[in-house]
Parts: sequence; C-alpha cells; structure tokens
Amino acid sequence: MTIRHRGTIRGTGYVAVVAVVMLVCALGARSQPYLATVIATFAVYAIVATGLDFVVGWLRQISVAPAAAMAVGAYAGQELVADHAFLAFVAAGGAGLLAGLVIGLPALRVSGFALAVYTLVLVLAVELVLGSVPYFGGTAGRAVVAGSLLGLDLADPEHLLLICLGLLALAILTYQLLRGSVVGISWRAVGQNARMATSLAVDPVRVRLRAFALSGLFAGVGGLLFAIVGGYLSPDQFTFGLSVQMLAMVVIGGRGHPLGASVGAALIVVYQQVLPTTNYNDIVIGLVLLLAAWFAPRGLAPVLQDVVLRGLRAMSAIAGRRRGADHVDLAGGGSR
Amino acid sequence: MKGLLTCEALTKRYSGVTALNDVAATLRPGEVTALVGANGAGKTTFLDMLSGTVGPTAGTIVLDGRDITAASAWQRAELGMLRGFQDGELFPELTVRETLRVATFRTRRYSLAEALLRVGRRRRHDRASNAAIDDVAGRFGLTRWLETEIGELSLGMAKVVQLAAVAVASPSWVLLDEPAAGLARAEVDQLARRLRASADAAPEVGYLIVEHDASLVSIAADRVIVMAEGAVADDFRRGDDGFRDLLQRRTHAATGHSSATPRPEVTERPSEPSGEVAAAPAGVDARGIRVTYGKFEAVHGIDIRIEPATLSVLVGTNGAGKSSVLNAIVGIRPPSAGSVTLDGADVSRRPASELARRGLVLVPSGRGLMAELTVAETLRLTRPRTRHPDTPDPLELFPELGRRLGQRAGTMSGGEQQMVALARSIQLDPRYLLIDELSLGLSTAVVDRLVAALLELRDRGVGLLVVEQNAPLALGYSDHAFVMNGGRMAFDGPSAIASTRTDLFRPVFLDPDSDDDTP
Repeated sequence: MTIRHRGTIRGTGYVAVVAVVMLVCALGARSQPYLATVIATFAVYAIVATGLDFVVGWLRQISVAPAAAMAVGAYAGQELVADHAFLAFVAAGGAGLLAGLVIGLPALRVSGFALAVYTLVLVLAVELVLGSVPYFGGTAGRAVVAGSLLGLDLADPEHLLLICLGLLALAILTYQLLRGSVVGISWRAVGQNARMATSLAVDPVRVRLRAFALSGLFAGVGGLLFAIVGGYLSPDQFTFGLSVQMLAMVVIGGRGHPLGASVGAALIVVYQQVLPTTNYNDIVIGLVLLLAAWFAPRGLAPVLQDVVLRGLRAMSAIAGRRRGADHVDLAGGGSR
Repeated sequence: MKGLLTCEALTKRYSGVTALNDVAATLRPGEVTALVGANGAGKTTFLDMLSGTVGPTAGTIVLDGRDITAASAWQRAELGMLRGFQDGELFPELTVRETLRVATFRTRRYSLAEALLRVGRRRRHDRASNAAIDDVAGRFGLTRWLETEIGELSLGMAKVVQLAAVAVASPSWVLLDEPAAGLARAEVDQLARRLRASADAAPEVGYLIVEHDASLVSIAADRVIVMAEGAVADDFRRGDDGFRDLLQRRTHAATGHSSATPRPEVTERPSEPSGEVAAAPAGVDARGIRVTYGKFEAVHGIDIRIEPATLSVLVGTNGAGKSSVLNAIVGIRPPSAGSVTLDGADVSRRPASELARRGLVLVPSGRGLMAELTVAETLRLTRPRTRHPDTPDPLELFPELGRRLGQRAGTMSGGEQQMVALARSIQLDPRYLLIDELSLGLSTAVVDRLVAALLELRDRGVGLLVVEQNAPLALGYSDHAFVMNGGRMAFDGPSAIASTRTDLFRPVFLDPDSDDDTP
C-alpha cells in the first residue's frame, strides 16, 4: 500500500513541479521580451528533447536526426503560420511524424552506432535539399511571419512564451501518461531486451516505428516553434550540431526520466546565455559534463529528484514533529 | 485434440553443420515434456524453432491445426506460446511490476490514444492487469520485490520473475530453456513442484522444458524426449520402463563409475609440510575467493591451487561458479574478497593483461576467437618477436592447423576453433594455462586430440586448470579435480578419488557416450 501511495505522490509531484516552474517562468518574464524569448527557446529545446528521449531513453538507440525532423516540421508549417496557425502546427506535427518514420526505418535493421551514422546521413540530406531547392527559399532563408493561435499573438514574445510552455507541459504530460501505460512499458522493454520482449508478444518493429514517429511529431512541432521564436527560417539552423545538442540534453538531463530532457535543455540554454562571453567557457562546460558523467551517470534529473525528495521529507519531518506524527508518511512518501 | 503442437521434418543447418535433422514430434497440452540430451544435441535449436527465435531450414510447425512455420516470434507469443531464456534474461531497468506489465500486453493491450487520453480500455485493463500481477506475485513470492529493478535481483530471483511473467501472460504453451540451471538444490525442487502443480491445475496448457537436471525431470515430467546429434533418439512416458531406466542410468552415469569398485578413501587434500610454505612454492594459489554480481554472491569463498606440471579440472553444473572463479583468478572480473598469488608473488587485483605477460593465461569460454580473422592472423596476434627455444610451437602441437592458415576462424568446426584458441594462448608461453570449457559440444575423438596436447604441455611443466561441465570425461583425463557446487568447493583431491564419490554429483543428463560436434 505504501508503494502504491508513493507512486501517486511521485506522479502528482511532477505535475506540481512543472506547474510551479512554468508559473514562475511566465510571471518572471512579464514585460521582459528578451527573457521571454530565452525561456521560450528553452521550452522548444525541451519539447524536442523530450520527444528524442522516446528513442534514446526508451528504445536505447542513438539518432542524430531530430534536427532533420525539426526542419521538416518548420518548413511544412511556415507558409500556414501567418493565417492559419493551428493548421500550421498540425501540418508541422504531421510532417515531423512522417520524418520520424523515415528516420526510424533503418532502426528496423541496424542499431547503436550504425544507426547513428544512417541518421547522420539523413540530417545532411535534409539540410542539402532545403538549401538547394528554390521552393524552400535557398540557403539565404526567409523571415517567418506568425499569426495568432487560440487568441494569443505569436508575434508577441510573452504570448509566444505561454504557448511554448503550454506545449512543453503537454509534451511532459504525454511522456508521463505513456510511461505508466502498458504501451510505454512495452517500448522500454523492447529497448532493454528486444528478444525477451518479443517472446512476450510485443512486436519490436511496430514499437520502434511508433516511438520514432512520436519522437518526430514532437520534433516537428518543436521545429515550427523554433522558427517562430527565431522569427527566421533557414536550412543552416537545423544542423548536425543542433542534433548533438539535443542528444546532450537528454543524456545530461537523464535518459528515461520525465524531467530529464527539460533539465538538460535548461542547462544548455543557461550555458548559452550566461557563459558565452568568456574564453574559458568550453573548458568550464567540458568540466561540468565530465563531473556530471562521473557523479550522475543516469543524468542530473534523478539526482535532483533525490535531493528534492530528501528536502521534502526533512521538511515534513519537522512539520510532523510540530503537528504530531500523522502527516509524515503522506508528505514524505513513506520512510525508508 | 485441441492445442496440439506438432512438427514434421524439422531441420536446421548452419553453414554446412546440421544442428537439427528431420525431427518430428507431437506435443500435447496438459503434459510436461522434458527435452534432454548432451550439450550440442540440438535441444535449444529445437526450442528456438518452435518459439520462432530461429527459422527452420526445412519442415513445418503446426499449432492447433494452424501452420505457424512462417509466423514470427511475437506472433507465436501472441498465439500463447511463451518462452523463457536460459540465463533468466529480462529488462534490467524495469521494475518487477513493469516486467509483469509487459507480460500482460498479450491479453490486455490498448492503443496509444487510449494510453494518452486515459479512456476506453486503459482503466479497465490496467486494473485487471494489476490484480493479475498482484495475484501471480503472491503465488511466486515476489510481492516484496514488485518495485525493485530487475538489475538488482539475483539470478535465481530473475528466473522466478521470468516464470511469473510467463504465468501472467496466461499461455497455452510454455517453452523453457534450462529453468533449473544456476539454481540451488532446494530451489530446483521447489521449481519442479511448482511446474507440476501448474500443469495439474491447468490441463489446457502444455510445457516443453529443456533440462539437464534429472531430479527436476523426475518430479515434473510426464514425458521425456531424448535428443542426440540433432535427432530424436528416444521418447518415453512416465510409467514406461524406459523412463525409469533413463533416470536411473543418468544418475549413475554422472559419475562415470559404478559404486561396485570402491576405492580406499584418502585424505582429500594432503596438508602441506609447514616448513615449505615459507619458501614460496611455485604455483598459483587463490584463497578465500568470493565473487559477487550486484547483491548476489556467486562464489562463497573458495581456495584453489594450480600446481606446475599438473593437469587439474574444475567441474560442476551450470551456475556452480566455475567461470566466475577462473575470471577472478586471472583478473578479468576481480573477486570481491580473497587473494591470488603467482609463484609466491601477490597478484590479487592485477589487470588480466599483466597476469598474461607474467605467464597466467586464460582461454575464455566460447574460445574468444574473432570470426573474421584467419588462423594465420589470429596466431600473429600473440606471436612473440623471437621464439624462445623452449616455447612450444603451436603448429608442432597442432600440425592440422598448418594446412588451414588461410581459413577464417568463424567457418571452422568447434574442435578446430578450440585448437586455434589453444594455439594462440600457447604462443604466450604460459606457465599456467586456464581453459574455460574445453570439451563443450565436441566429439570424443576431438576431445582426445585436445587432451593429448594438454598432456604434452603438462609434461613440459605447464600447470593447467580446465573447467568442465562433463564430470566423467574430465575426471577421466585429469590428475587432480576440484568439484564446485552452488558456489562452494565440494571436493579437492585426486581425480581418481573424485570418480568414486557418487555423492558429489547431482544427477544430471550428461551423456558420456554422446558424439557430436557443432561449431
């Protein structure tokens, strides 16, 4: 009973953490357009990285193609976004989903390092096609004129921030709902031992394609948001380097953890914003990565979660001592 | 009859070697059928083909009147044919509950949309799944472990989880590969009784079990199919004379000696004269070796000594801890406790590469060859720059390899591969050579050939320790024997004496007469 109990507290705990952080972000960025844009960028990264975790954390495959799916989504939605923003997002998600399927096809035959190389080829191909076909505006790129979505003005940084945070919340909620369902568990099972999952009636082909497709959908929507936040769209935004950044977010933040991608995205954005002026910057970030890999091999999110839970437990123990012992178990999630 | 599983003319060839030849069988639900036979007889291949893990070269498989030869592994699982793997493999980072949830996928699945919107079948199925999981976990004694990750569990527990997963999936056919391997005596009996009880409780479910353990078979099986050289050699039912004879014969065969010729009992380990200990005698001495995997201790503190110019064997069943001991001695997986000395010098926890340079060399199980390299390339890896005149020339020891220098190791037979592996290690000029599984899957003629080479090395002064599962064979060719059981040393003394000790060996299905050779 205590175990079941802890599970629900953990689930609602995530929702509470996400809600509080987002509220702080939204309020903190009021009438500060630059800050709003920075936080919106974080949310966009976090959306794509959360989707990428289906592939990296659950299927345990390496894909360096999220940038390709982002580009496909962004280019699919950019024409529509001025007048029919909602349709633009549907188009971006759909195109991203298809891109994800294409990226996932080689995953049916190869895995690990070989798959990473195949997906690398896809990223380069997409970048090349977008740059050389005149219809897409060539390498020079074009400005993105955004309309309004659900009554919010996409051109206004504060409104845009709300939309980005809302979509990120939706992404994390999707992740979390899937994680606890037999669908999500079977995806993770395929990633950890496809042979055994197969003998329990899970079709690994279907699972891999679906996970890649959903990952592509997240990347497609994220790609369109990325273009709107930047106000600009050109093929050289969606490079191999961007994909590697996304991978880094997932790995540093914590593979397979609902908030791992967000923690990683926050870290990268803070790094880009706070540190870019010093010369020792790369050394500092390199050291941080090294320490993170050494002390938190499963990523930072599980470590942070542990710290927060311990803090809550200590707080509730103090509160419990004040008010009597009844509340300790409820707030602390059981003593172990 | 409903639920009948039949196969006809089932054949599997791997690049010229026939692993399974024209096998026909009719398996009935409500029966526990045991599949026994020597290593390499084709038992696991048969199981793999029934479960769809491996496709047959020829033949058909029919389940309940439906041809499933072309069905993939997951489709067969969906039809209710559930299979467990030998090493209790599962999903290391899923909890026990999540693992059992995967098993409910077959009967209580729902769509992605239902999962995300928490509508439709999701609530109903999740509730039913959790109830089924709690029930099965209770029956298998897993309730306490439901929220534990599989990676934290011992091998024995992981095997129980695998069985529980199969039970949760409500199968019509259960295919298990050596469920008793690596389990302690009491666990084997418990497993056997549980299997028997499950079969009696649900007559619509059929069981096919590959098993070496005679007592599990005698408790649980209704029928025994004996395989040899990729074919069905015998087929007995409980109550047949053959069934009884088989179990009795195997029980005695395991020691290779009848109890009619008792030998005088002597002290098992001649105690060393105390005066000589200080002089740091030559040899490898491992003392108090313990090996742990996570929370699971596989080896519980054993002593083992490799004398120069002696051929010793380390025997015991699957999971007794033999390979763990070898890997601990040579430093591939350092022991959690204990010390190793090499000719008097403490080499505990030194890296394996250093020990190899100092003359302590391991030939790993599975021979550790690179399939893409030719014999000549493989030998070049370890060829010394200048050959010491005393170093044995591997091609002198195995002249047959001289004709095969251009052949890739992956395309050779098992016996030839073992020769290449030995030749490669001999070039390092070892003073002590440790071999993990010398005879596994090899014919007696080939084993004789390999043993002759080992005896020559011994006569040149090399100390040898060979891990073997086939105790009668190993005791026949060695000077000294160590017998391990459940991670402890059960015997340490001359091989001739070990042969007389029927109590040492669990009755196992190892056929000393078997002749087969698979790569």
